[in-house]
Amino acid sequence: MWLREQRYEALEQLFAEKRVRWMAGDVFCSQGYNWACSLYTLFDPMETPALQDKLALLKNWVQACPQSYHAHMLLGELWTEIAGEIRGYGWASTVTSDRWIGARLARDISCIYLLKAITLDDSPGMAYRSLMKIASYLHEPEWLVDLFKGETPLPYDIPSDPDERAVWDAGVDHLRQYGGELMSFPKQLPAGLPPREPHEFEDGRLYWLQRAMQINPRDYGTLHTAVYYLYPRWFGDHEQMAAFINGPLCAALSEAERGGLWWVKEQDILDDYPDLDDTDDIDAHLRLWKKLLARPLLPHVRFSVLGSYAKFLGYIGCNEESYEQFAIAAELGQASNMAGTYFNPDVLEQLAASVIKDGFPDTRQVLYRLTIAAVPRNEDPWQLALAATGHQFGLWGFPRQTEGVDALIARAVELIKAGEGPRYMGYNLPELMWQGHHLKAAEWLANQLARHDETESMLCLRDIYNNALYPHTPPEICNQPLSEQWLRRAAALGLTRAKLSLVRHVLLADGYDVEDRQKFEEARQLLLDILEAGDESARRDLFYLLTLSGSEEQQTWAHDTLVPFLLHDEDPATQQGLAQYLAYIYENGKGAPISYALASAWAKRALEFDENDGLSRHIFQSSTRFTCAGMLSRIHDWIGKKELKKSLAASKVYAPEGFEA
Amino acid sequence: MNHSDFIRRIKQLEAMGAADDQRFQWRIAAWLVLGYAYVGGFAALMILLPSALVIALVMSHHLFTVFMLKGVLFATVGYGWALVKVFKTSRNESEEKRRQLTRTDAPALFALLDTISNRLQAPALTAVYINNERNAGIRQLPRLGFLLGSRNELTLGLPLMQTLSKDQFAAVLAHEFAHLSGSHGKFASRVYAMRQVWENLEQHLQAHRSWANAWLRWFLSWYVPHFNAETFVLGRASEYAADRMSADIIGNATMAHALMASNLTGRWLRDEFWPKIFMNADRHPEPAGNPFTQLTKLYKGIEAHTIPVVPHLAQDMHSWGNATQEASAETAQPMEHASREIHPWQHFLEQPHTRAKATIWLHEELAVPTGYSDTHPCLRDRMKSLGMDTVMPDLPPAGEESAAGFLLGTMEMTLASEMDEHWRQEVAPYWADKHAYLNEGRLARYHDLLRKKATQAFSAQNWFDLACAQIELAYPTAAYHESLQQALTLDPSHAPAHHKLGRLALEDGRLEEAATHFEAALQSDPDFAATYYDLQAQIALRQGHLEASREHLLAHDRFLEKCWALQQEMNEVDANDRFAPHGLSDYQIKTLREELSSIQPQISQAWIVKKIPRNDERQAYWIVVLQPRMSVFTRWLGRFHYLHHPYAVACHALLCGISLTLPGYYRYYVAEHPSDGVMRKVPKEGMAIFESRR
Repeated sequence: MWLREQRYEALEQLFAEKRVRWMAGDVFCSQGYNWACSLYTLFDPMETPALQDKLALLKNWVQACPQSYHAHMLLGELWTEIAGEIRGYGWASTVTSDRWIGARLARDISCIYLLKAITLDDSPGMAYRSLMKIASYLHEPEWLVDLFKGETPLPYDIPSDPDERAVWDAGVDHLRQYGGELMSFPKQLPAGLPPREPHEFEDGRLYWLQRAMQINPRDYGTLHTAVYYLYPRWFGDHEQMAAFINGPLCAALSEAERGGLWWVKEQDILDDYPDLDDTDDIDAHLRLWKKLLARPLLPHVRFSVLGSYAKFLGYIGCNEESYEQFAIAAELGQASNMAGTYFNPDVLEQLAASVIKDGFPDTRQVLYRLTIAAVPRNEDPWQLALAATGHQFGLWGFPRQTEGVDALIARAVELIKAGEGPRYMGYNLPELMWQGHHLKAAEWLANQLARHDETESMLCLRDIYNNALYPHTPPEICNQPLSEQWLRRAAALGLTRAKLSLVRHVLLADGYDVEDRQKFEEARQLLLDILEAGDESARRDLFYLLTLSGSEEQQTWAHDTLVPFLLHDEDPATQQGLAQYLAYIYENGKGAPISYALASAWAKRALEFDENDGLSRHIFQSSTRFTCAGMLSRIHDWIGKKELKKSLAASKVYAPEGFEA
Repeated sequence: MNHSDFIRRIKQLEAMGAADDQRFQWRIAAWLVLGYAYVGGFAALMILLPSALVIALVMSHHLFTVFMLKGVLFATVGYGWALVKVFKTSRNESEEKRRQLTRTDAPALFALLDTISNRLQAPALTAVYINNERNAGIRQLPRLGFLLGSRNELTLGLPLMQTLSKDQFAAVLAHEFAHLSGSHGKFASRVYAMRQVWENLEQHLQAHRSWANAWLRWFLSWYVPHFNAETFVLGRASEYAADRMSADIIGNATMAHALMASNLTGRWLRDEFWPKIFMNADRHPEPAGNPFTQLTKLYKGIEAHTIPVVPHLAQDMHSWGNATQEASAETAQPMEHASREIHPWQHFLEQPHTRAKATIWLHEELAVPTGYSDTHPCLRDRMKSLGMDTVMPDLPPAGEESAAGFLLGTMEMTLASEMDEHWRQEVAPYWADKHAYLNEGRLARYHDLLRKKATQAFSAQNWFDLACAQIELAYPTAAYHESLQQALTLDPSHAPAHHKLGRLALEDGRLEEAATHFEAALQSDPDFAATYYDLQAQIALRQGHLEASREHLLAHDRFLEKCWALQQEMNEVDANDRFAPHGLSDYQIKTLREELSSIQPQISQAWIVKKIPRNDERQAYWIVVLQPRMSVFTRWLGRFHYLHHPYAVACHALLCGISLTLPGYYRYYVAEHPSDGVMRKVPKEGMAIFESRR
C-alpha cells in the first residue's frame, strides 16, 4: 500500500524500527524485520500485482531514493523471483536452454542490485541472505567469482553461431518480458567485503552465509533458509542438516529456537507419506514425530508440528489419536495466543473430513476453535467459507449467527479469485459437506459462492442439481435446467472445465454427429476456446466433431491441422479414437482423399485396441474381402498408388506404423 | 561344479589319502585319457575322415566327386588342424611380454641352471625367459601329449632376482627344476604339467571365443574344474616333494630362507616399494622414476632413495600450501615427508625399527593358512615340512649381493632399463588418473572439510578426516596432530584417531605413548585387533622384549585364524550352514518381490533366509535362494555339459543388475537342482518370496 502510494519515508521508518529489535536479537517476534522485508508482505496479496507491476513500483522507489538499502535489496530479491519464474518450477532437466539463459540474466541483475545494496548499509544482513539464496539456488555468477579472484569480469559472450544466437536471443526475450535489460557488471566489489578463503570459492553460499551471520548471529531467517538449501533436492543431505543445526552458526539460538530448524529438517522426511501397507516406514515416521515433539519447541512451532502430526495420524487411520493431537494443538494455540498459531487448509482438511464428512464427534469443538483462529487473518478462503457456513447453520461447533456471514463469503470469493486457498475449493468444500449429509449447508455455500461468480462452486451446483454427487440429491432439489444453467454460467465466465463439460455432456451428449447447426457452432466455438486456453484435451473432441458434422472445408482443416498433434498423443483412448476416425475418413474421403489401403490399415490398428469395434471391422473386411466391392477398392488403390506414395512422403495423409503403400 | 563342491571334493580326497594311493593314479589317468580322447579324437576324426574319403573316392575313380567336394573336405581338415594348433597357441598374456635370455647374455645364470639341472637330473631347458613379475616358473608344453617329450620353458622374474640373494634364488630354481625332474614321481610331474596345459587352453579359448571352438569350450568348462579338483592333492604333494628335493641339494636352512625371503620381499615390494613409487604421482604428471633400475641399486643401496621433485611442481606445491593453510596451527609450509624415502631391502632387514616390521610381516605370512585357490601350501606348512621353526623364526639374511647382480652381471641394468621403459608406457594412464586425483581430488576433499567445519558440528570423525587430508597434503605434523587430538577431545574412544596417533608416536620412537594409543584403539574397536597385536609386537621387539613380542604375535595368529575362518564361511553357502528365519516384515518381502519381479519369469521359486555364521553370529546375513525355472530335460542336460547350468548362469547375470532393499549384507544362491543341499536345508515355511506356480 505504502509503496503504491510512494510513502517511502514511512516504509524506511518501518524497516528501521523493526530492524532495531531484530538486531537486538528478537528474531521470533511476529511481523518483525524478516516479515517486513519479504516481497509477500510488501505487496498486499489482495492487490496481486503482476511481477512487471511489482518491478515498476520497486524501480520507482529506487529512483526516488537512490541511497535506499531496502529499495535496492528488495529489487534484487524481486529479480531473483523473476529468475525463478523464467526458469520455471519443473525439474532442472526439463528447463529449456533459453529459459536457463533468461534465468541467469535475471540472476545477474539481482546480484548487481544486491551488491549495490551492500554498499548502502552497514548491516546488510538481508542482502547477504539473498546472495546466499542465489548461490544455493541458481549458483553465483562467474563474474562475481571473478571479482573475488581480483579479476576484471568479462562482458557477456554473445554467441556468433546462428543456432546458439537464437537461443541466446530467446533468453534475452524472457528477460525483456519482465522489462529487464542486460546490465554491465560492477568493476569492483563493495568496499569492506572480506576476501574469500580458497575453500569458499567452490560453494559461494558459505561465504554469504557467514557474512549474514556476522551481522546478526541470531538471524533465524537466514539459518532457516540455509537449512532448507541443505535438503537432498539441493544436493545436501539429512546428516549435513543435523550437523548444521548442531553447528557453530546455530549456537546463538536456544534449544527451543533450534527446534524450528529441526522441524524444517524433519519435514523433508515426514512430508513424504509411506504406503499404508509399509508398516515399518509408518513406524519410522511415528518414531520421528515423537522424537520431534519431545524436543523443546517454541509454541508456534509445536503448534505447527502437532497439526502435521495429526494430519499424518488421520492418514494412517488413527482418527482418535489424530483428533487428540488437533485438540492439543487447539489448546496450545489458545494458551500461547500468538500469531502464527493457525493451520493451513491442507492440515485442517484432515480434521474437517473427519468431523464433517465422517461425522466424528467433535466433543471439544476443535474444528471450530482451529478454524476461527485462522479467520481473523482474513487470508484463507477455505477457513472463511467454512466459518461462514458453520455460523449460518450453527454446525460443527460454530454458534449460529448470520451477522457477518456475507462479509466472510465475499472475502472468501475475493481470495479465491486472487488464487489463494486450495485448488478447486469452490467445488470441494461444498462437496465435503454434501458427502457428510449436510445437504442444505452444501447447497447454500455453493450458491453463495456462485452468486459471487465463483466458477468452481457453479460446477458443484451443476452436480448437486444433476444428482451427480453422493448421497443422491433429493428429488425436490434435483433441477436439470438449473444444473445446465449453472454450467453455462461457469462456461460463460471462462472456466475451461465447465466449457468442456458443457460440450461433452450437454451439446454433444448424443454424439459428434450433430444436425443442429447452432449446437454444432456453439460446440465448435467452445472447443476452439478451450484449445486456445491451452487445454489439449479439446483437440480430440474438435477432430471428431468436425469430421462427422463439419463442412468439407472444416473436415480438411481437421485432418490436416489436428491429426499431426493427435498422432503424438500417448493416451490410448485418443489413439484408438484416432485410428477409428482415420479409417472412416480414408474410406469416405471426409477431409482427405479416399484410400482403402489406408482405411484398412487404420481399421486394423483400431481393432488392436478393441477387437469388437464393429465399424472398424467392417472397414477392414470390406477392403480385404474378395467381393466386388473389395475388388473395386483394390483397383482404386492400385490406380492411386503413386499419388498415395507422394501424399505419404509429403505428409498429406497419415499412415500407421509399418504401413507400406 | 561350484567352488563349494570343488573344495568339498578336495577335502574328500585329502581325507582318503589319495596322494599316496597308487589306485588313485588310475583314476587320474582315466581323466587324462578322457581329455585327450575328446579333443584329440575329434581333431583326428576331422583330419582322418575326409582324408580316408578322398582316398576311397580316388581309388574308386570318382574324381569328379572329389572335385565337387573339395571345399568341404579342405574345410574339415583345416578345422581339425586348427584344433591341433590350439594347443600350441595357448600362451597367456604375461608370456607375450617376456624376453628370452641366451647363454651369452647371462653365462653365470646358465651355469647355475646347468648345475641344478644336473644335480636333479632334470631334462634340459628349451628356453629361458625373463619378465617383470616377482615370480619364477617352469612350464612344460607337451609335444603330442608327452608322446614326443615336452618343451620346457623357464621364466624368471627380474624383481625376484633383484630381491633374493644368490643362494635363496638357487633354492627357488631348484624347486622349479624338481617339478621337471619327476624324481618324486613321473606321473605326478606329468599331471602337474597337464593341469597347466588344460587351464591355459581353457583361458586361451575363453579369450578367443568363436562358434567353431564352442564345443571345446563347453567341454573344458566342465572338464577343467573337475580335473583340477581330482588332481589337486597330487599337485600339492608335488609342491612338498619339490621343496624336499630342493632342500636336499641346497640345504634345509637355505630353502627355508628362500621361502621366507620370497614372501617378505613380496610384502616389501607391495607395502613399501611400489606405494612410494606411486606416491610421486602427486608431483609428476607422468610416470616418474625407474623402478626396476632402482631395485638394482636398492638391494645394496647405501642411502635411502627418493625421487627428485620436478622444479615447477615443487613451486606449485609451495604456492598451493600457502593458499590452503589455515590461520592457526597450519601456518607452516608443506614439507617434504620423510615417508617418501625408500629404504634399501638390506637396510630394511638391518635397521631396528624396520627389522621389527619385517619380523611382523614374516609372522603374518606364517599365519596365513593353506587354501584351495592354489596348490602351493602356505608358508607355515612348507617350513614345517622342512622341519623349521614356524612360530618365531629368525629373519632370512639379506646376502651380500642380489641374485640378479651376481647372475646377470651387466645385463641386469640393460633388462631393468627395458622394463622401466615398458612400465612407464603401461602405467601412464593409471598414473595420470592418480595425479589428477591427488592434485584435485584431495584438495577438494580438504576444502569440503573446511567448509563443513565453518558451518556444521564437526564430529570426531570429521576431525579425523581432516587430519587424513592434512597428511595427504603433506601438512606439518603439528597440524594433523592437533586435528587428531581434537577428534579425541570430542570422542575419547575414537579408535582410528588413537591408531593414527599411535602410528605417529611409533614413527617418532615414542613407544610407550604408541602402546597406550594402540591399547585405546583396541578397547574401542575390536576390529583393530590384528593391527594392535602386530604393532604391539613391533613395539615389544624394539624394546627387546622378545617373549612379549612372541605372545602378541601368537594372539595375532589366533585372531587372524578366526577371521580367515569367518571370511571363508561368509564367502560360501553350504548345506552345513545354519539358517534362520529372515525376520523381515511383510512389506519388506513385498518390496523384494517387486524388486525381483523382472526375473520372475526365469525363476520357479525364491526364498530368503538368514545365514548365521558359526564363527561370529553377529555377522548374520541374508541369503536369497533362487531356483531357476527349467524343465527336467534341460536340468539333466545341464548337468552333463556345463560347469554351471546355463539357466543358472543366466539367472546370475540377471541378478547382477538388481539391487535389493535389505537392511544389511545379502547374497544370492542360485540352486541348480531341487536336490541341492542348500535347497533342502533352507527352512521354507514363511520364507518364500515367490512360491512355485505348479
